Amino acid sequence: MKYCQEITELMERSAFERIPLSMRMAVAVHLFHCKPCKRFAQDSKAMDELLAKRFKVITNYTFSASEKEKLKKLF
Amino acid sequence: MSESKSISPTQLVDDHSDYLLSFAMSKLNDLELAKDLVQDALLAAITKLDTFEQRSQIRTWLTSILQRKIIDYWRKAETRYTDPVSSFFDNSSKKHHWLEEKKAADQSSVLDKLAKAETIEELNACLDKLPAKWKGIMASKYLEEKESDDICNEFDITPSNLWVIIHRAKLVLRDCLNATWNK
Repeated sequence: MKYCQEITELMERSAFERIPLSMRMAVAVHLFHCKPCKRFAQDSKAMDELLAKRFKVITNYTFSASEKEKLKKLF
Repeated sequence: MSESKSISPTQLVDDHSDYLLSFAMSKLNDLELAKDLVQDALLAAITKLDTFEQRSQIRTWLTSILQRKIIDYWRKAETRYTDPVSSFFDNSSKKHHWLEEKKAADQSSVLDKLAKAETIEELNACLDKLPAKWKGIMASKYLEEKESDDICNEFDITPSNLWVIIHRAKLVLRDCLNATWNK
């Protein structure tokens, strides 16, 4: 029997590497019975999407003209 | 005589500094720090101009130097952090079930908030609560979609450290987001 902490860790681990069938089964069985873990699994997936969105947005930032002049003087 | 000698420092600043700053901000979300690291990267680039090989684009080359600076910053950053697991799971019972208040059963799901524009801002605020090294790891995973081996090498951690950190980071982030939404 696996418990919530271990199960949620295994879920993250399985995103990085193939985990043995017995562990995958344990996760599936646990998620079937455990609402908070199932909820975390959903939230975790949604966070993957959110984090990918967050890190892919490259907003434009610029140095001001005076900052650029300062930079040039450094060299 | 290589062509690289003809690249002037002034031109580097004019042509690439804004791009580099935007790149740094996408990872760091801290304007002062981003400006500092871009400056460091430009300085390093200028002293190494003679090693620049024309077969790579100058912008790619500059970006890789900046990337190195950012990783060095993360590496040196404070990594001590109270292990938050005990604040999410009941370890006293040895059953490691969720603590009652962390089950999030009656709270909005992240999924429901995905489409909202302000969610990204809320996420940014929560990301700031993570140790710098963890943020770096998240940026490598989600921004660059790096293979786990590469992330482990960059941050000098083992694969099991990697998924444990992602697990901890997600626990903290979800908790922080829920706190924001249920204020």
